[in-house]
Amino acid sequence: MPLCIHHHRCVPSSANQGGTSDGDVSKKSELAHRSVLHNLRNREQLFPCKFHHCTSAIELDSTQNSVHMASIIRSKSVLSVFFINLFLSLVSSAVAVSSGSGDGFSISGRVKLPGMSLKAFGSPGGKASNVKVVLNGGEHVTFLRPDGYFSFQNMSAGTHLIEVAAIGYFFSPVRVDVSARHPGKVQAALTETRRGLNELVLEQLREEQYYEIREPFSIMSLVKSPMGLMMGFMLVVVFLMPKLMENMDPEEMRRAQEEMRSQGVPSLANLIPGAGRS
Amino acid sequence: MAIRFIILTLLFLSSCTIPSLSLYEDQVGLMDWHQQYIGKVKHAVFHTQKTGRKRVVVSTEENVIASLDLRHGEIFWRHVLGINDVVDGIDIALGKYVITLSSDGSTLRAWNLPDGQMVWESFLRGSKHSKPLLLVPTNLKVDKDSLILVSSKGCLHAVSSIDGEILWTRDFAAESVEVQQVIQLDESDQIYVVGYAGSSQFHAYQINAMNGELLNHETAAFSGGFVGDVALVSSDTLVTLDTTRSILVTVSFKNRKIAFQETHLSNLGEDSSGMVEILPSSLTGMFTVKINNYKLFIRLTSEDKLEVVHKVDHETVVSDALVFSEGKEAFAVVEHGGSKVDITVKPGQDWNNNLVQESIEMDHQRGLVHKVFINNYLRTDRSHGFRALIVMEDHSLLLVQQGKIVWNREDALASIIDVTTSELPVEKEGVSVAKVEHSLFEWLKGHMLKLKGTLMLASPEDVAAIQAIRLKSSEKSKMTRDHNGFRKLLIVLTKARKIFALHSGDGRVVWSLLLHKSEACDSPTELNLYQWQTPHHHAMDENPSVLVVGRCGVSSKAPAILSFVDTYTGKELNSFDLVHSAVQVMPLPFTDSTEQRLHLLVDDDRRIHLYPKTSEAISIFQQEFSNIYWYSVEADNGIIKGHAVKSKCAGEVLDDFCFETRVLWSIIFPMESEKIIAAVSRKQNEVVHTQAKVTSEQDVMYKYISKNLLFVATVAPKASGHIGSADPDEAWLVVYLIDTITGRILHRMTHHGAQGPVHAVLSENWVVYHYFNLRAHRYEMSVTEIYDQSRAENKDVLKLVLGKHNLTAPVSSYSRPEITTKSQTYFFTHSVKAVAVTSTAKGITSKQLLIGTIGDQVLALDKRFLDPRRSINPTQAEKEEGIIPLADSLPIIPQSYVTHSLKVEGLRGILTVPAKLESTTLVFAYGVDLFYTRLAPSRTYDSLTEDFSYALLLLTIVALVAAIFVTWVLSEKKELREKWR
Repeated sequence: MPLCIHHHRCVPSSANQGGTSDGDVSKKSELAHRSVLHNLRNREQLFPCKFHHCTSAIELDSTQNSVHMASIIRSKSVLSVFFINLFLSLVSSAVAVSSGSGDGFSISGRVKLPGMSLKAFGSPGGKASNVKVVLNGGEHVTFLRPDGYFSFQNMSAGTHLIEVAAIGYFFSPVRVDVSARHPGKVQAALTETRRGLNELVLEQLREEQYYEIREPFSIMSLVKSPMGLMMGFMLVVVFLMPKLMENMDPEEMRRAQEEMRSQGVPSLANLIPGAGRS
Repeated sequence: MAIRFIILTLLFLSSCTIPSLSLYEDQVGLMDWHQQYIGKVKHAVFHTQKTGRKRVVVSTEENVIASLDLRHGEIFWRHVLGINDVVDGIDIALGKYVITLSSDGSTLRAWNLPDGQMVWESFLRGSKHSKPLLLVPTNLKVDKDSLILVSSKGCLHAVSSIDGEILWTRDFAAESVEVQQVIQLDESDQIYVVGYAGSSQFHAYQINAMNGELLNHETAAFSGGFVGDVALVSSDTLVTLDTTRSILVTVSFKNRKIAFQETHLSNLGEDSSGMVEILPSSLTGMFTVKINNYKLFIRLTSEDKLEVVHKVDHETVVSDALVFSEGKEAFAVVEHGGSKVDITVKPGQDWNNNLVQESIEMDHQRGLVHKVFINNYLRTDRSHGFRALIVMEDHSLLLVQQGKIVWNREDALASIIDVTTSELPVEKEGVSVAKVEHSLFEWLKGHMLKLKGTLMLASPEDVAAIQAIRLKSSEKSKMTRDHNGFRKLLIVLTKARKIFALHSGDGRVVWSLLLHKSEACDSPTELNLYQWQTPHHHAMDENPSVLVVGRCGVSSKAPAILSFVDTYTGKELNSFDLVHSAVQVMPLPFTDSTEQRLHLLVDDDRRIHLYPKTSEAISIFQQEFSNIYWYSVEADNGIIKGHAVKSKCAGEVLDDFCFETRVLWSIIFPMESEKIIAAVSRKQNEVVHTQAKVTSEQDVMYKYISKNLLFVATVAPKASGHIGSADPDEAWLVVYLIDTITGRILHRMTHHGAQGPVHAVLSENWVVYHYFNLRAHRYEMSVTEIYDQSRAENKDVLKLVLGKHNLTAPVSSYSRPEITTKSQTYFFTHSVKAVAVTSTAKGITSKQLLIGTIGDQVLALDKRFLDPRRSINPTQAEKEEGIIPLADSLPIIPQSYVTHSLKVEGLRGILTVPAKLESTTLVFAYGVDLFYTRLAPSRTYDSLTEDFSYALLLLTIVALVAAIFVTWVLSEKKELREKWR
């Protein structure tokens, strides 16, 4: 499924037009365009694509699990409330720009937990409520929405580290490069596996099992245990050894004993009662 | 051969199991306990309207949002926000969402009330700082949505409560208006926003809340100027103070007109000299003024006159107004009277009438009442009852209903500053026989059950009974010392100035003590805890005690206060207000005849003061006069200094216990390139068992063991911020190992492209530190081991014969030993909040690092993973020695999390204490939660585990005896038969 970008009504402000080229703007509007079309296809309804304040993700249908989003947008404008009308977007992109303040980027992404994605919105017992997403080792901490999305605001350009803290799962930290020159470009990679991510969808590397599994009781485990082995050995010595000794030629036996005595090694026969007698 | 083989296999089987900490799920709670806290409550909102579970949602000073059960005080759900994410306000919207405003009014979140799931999150932007205000009007509804109004950072935002969408924003920063209040005009969709521009211009905006349209804007100047908080007395009148703090200004802004009215405090018959303050409140027609140490309740009469209704001392606390049944208002007043607390609920505007008057007995260890929140409920006879949630000085939270404390929470334990341990009393002789017999029977029964359990014969009820027996185990919560040293008292000092003694067996509070508050010192800060007296050999009659050192004020020059607390009884033995300050406290390794430890306090003039102030102490001190050295780290100036004692203080007042000091050495780091971010030294009471290490090549390496090692980490000033703020090329981390007696730098290493935060632990002859590598963009952990090279020559036999070895030479810091260091670096996945190392009684047991990760878990990592002698392909000999093949990152084995599936939310510190049993160490991790467990880093090789089945042993013995008899009889018979033959 194609990438869908939601999350913005924040576009480069007019004050910053000198720096960000028109090409960027048009690229973005194209993206927005695509997303609208995409949503149209998915939802089959008229879609006044509200671009929120870089924060509120448009809730996707829960079946659209593979639709992820990842966007880093230069959010210069604060007050811009604009609607991209369907028709407008088909004809041309409408970019409303208003002045604002607050310099910084925002990162949005999604954490996928097994079993969470299939659940309906707001279903109880979802583990998403116990998950924290930590930026740069504690600079910011945020939580997951019911559908697994999270976002960080007001970030500086540079390389950042995102960690997911979820009991029962092992997540690799993710390095995210926020580029000042190419706003809207996301570069993310798992630091553990050095795998690049096309979109900021974080999945657990493995589940963590904190407890040892108690082996069910079995005769074999008892036999295999040191006690069992010792017992087994005793049984062998008590019941099998005399039989072996009986089958031995007495001459050979005596020779073997003498040999051992001459070597000064504690004799096998000394350990076995009855062997010396016979 | 067969025997040898089998014996070898047996040995192999028994010795080759890798020691791991793993725990079975049914062992949870046997040796560990976990407690959850929330911290001192700042805001509380009740949710009791609907039938079903009644709850109260609170936010606390530890940045916790929690939903508590109103019946029992248990936590339904809880979230710990980030450290900078301070909660500014909470409320409930739509009856199902908890709305929190945090981070100085820039983050607005909604949480699902039943389960605490975050529903949406909105970021509010603005240019300048202003007071964050959250208003959730109940009647501003559009369809099913309702509005949330937030004033922060100079803007007013209206946010939809369903999805957090910002509907409109109005910026007041352009007119440089600082918003003071957002007021909803009763039952309409119009709101008033009032604020000051500068200190004298008053602005009132009337706004349509539905669309943000500005309906009216009035402004007026008041020559006197405004200062401090405002108190809203009605929807169109507020009261504030003028800049002289002697005139109350009533501002009314009704009918599109702003009118000021001044009332001198002296006209109200009050002395207005001193500190006058308006307390924020929401009572209709009434407000509270704090003057010096009393409070005035002032009413606005219908003729817009002010009159004093009541005057109380400053310890009285008033709740916000509560609207119950059809516009009736009530508020609660809590007053102290001796050991009792009087709670009165009064109807709004009518001071002389009481709806409820209750008096409850209050433990004086809880201190004063700090906050009160009220809520109403319908009694069975349809009359209104009130319950009050009270926050005390010791941060505890109480629910009071019908004159009784329904539940209480000791939430001071969420803010532990310092921890130490104390032994329990020795068991007294004389245990009754009947008790032993009874317990013997019980003991056997328990073990039979356990045996059934191991043999898988137990029924589900039996399994439950086994679990209950294991968890109950009265042994572990006894109030006496045990043979293995597992039972101890954890003495914890909290931000609330309250000391708790927790029993290590089950974590219960044995005693608690709110530190005595003297007249001179109202709010001591920077408290620390030291072991003052730990009697063991002689002086057994004395109780152990701890020393609490505090500072009476914020500056480092503020005088210190000392307080001595008996750890058995929890009584404060003594307390002193000192004349000098204490910037550093040093426990000395000397004790007097009553086992009191000598302490040195360094004041801000770099003079030292000896405690206890006895002649015995001074004689001990004078013997060791020339052997006392210490260091100080001035992180801001980038200087580390070494000090020694010079002479007695030369002052006009003769003080035998005061000494002048001199600076021996100093290390000055270049400010432009290095900034000190961490300084770690060895634990003073750490025991090292062996000084030498025999390697696989039959070689001996001598550890360089010095108590006077200091690890210092510096970073480039540009890279001292957060990750992502620095470029790898302009970041570096330099680590030093410094001898604190001579100031000699033993080891220095630079990590290019690395930055902090650095967490380090120094133990024996090694240091392990955790930092961030910007080039690889991963965290790293490095280990550095120091070996003494001057002793390495001792293996020469000839020298030994000739007596030219230096094995018996005393170790001195003045000698300059040749040392070598070995280092190795590994990747580590997680951010780290705290690092500690296990410590055991004799130091024989191998060590484990305890790493508090960002997920608030504590990971035990074997020191063998951090061994600089690891190589990619270790030789056979090295493998036998236990050297693990080198890997680029440290393994995270889920089973080795000592906190297993629990979280120690807001983890701040980890303390390890040796038990008497060599194999075992006690671990206490604290943050907002507390977690305690017992660890055996190399397994319990010196005792049987809890799981050991005595019944199975008995059964085996019985079976063996029976077998002996049977075989004896059989052999007799056989012999007889042989003889007959």
